[in-house]
Amino acid sequence: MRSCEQSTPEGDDAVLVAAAMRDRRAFAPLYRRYLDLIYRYSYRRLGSREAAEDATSQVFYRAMAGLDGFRSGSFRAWLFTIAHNVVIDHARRHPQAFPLDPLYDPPDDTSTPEELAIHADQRRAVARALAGLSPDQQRVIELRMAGLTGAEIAEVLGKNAAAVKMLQFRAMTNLRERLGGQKDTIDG
Amino acid sequence: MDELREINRLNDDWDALLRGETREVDPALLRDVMALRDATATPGPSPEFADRLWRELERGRPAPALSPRWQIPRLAIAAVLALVLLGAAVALLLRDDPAEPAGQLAAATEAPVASPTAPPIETPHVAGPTATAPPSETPQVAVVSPTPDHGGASRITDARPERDRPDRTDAACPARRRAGLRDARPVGQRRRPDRPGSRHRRGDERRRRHDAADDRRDTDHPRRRFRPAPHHRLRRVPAR
Repeated sequence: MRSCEQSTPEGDDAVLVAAAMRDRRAFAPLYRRYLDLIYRYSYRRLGSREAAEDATSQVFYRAMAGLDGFRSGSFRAWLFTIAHNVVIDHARRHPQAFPLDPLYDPPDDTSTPEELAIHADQRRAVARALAGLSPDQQRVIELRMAGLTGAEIAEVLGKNAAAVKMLQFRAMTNLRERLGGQKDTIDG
Repeated sequence: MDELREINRLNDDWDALLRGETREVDPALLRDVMALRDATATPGPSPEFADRLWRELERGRPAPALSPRWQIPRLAIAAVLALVLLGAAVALLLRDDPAEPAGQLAAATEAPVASPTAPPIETPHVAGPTATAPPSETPQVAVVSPTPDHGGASRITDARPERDRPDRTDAACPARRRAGLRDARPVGQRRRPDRPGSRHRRGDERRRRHDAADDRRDTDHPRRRFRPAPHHRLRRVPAR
């Protein structure tokens, strides 16, 4: 997974954060490391390029301004907590924001048109199933897809680890049921 | 118990996937995660945006303003709000009582406090043929002694509450007060006092005579106040 490749050990983040607290220009490696994750998470939640850019700007500005307030723990969880709050604020201020276009497809020159069509169908089915989950279950899945561990998701959502595990389990069970049902419907 | 084990196993497997350990992960989860990743794929940030944002962060500037997409509705809302406020202000101005022009209001608020020991200098004529206010035992008019602040000119103020005053326009119009005349017309239809130097002052004498004649009439009589048109007059039917 892309996020797996980009994630680094917590100790690495801690060193970079300590350097950034002394000199703001040392924030650059952290910015480069998390810009893509935060932008994609914002885009997934808000559904447009403009909104994602606005939210990403707010997240990094708040992170740089409040870096002294970061004490310990996972920097990634702390940054995603900011992103989670910014996205909620943004969605509250602009409730007319449109949902994510389910037909976005990353460019892939090797696929044939038939493969592309099948792939688009599968993506539509998964997106529909995902949209049928409860908001908490959706948040857990979105944060999982952003590359956060269970403990980090619990920190971001302000829940305990057991609650997050349960939400995750229910979400996956629900998704499998829905996808199975849709498949049966299509095949039948 | 089985469900609890499943819940923990799913969480551990997913954490292992994030660490890149795929050997002991449930293949079904791996398949689901791949499908989810495809379904939730989004475009990444453009390099221009990344550079621009970093430059702004380096300068320590506040977060950039919202995109023009969001600014347009804000401007429209601000314009509509400004129009609504302007309309409300105009409506409030139009609702003001025409019998209380700004000058009179200012005179009433700036009038010095009546001195109870000062001798009365001038008593305005407030009781006329059309005066309808009931007589009261409280002093109706307070006469203010000349004060150095006003160049020795006497100022008159009505000590009664505003609702009890018989006719505020007459009390505030020095020319009519000096002439001892009152205007019997309804408040909104009265002629405005002329400004000094106005060419309309030439008609003052004629108007004064006209107003005096008005005062002599019994204007409280309904037939005199509201003269019906000839075709509206009641026809007297001779009694049989």
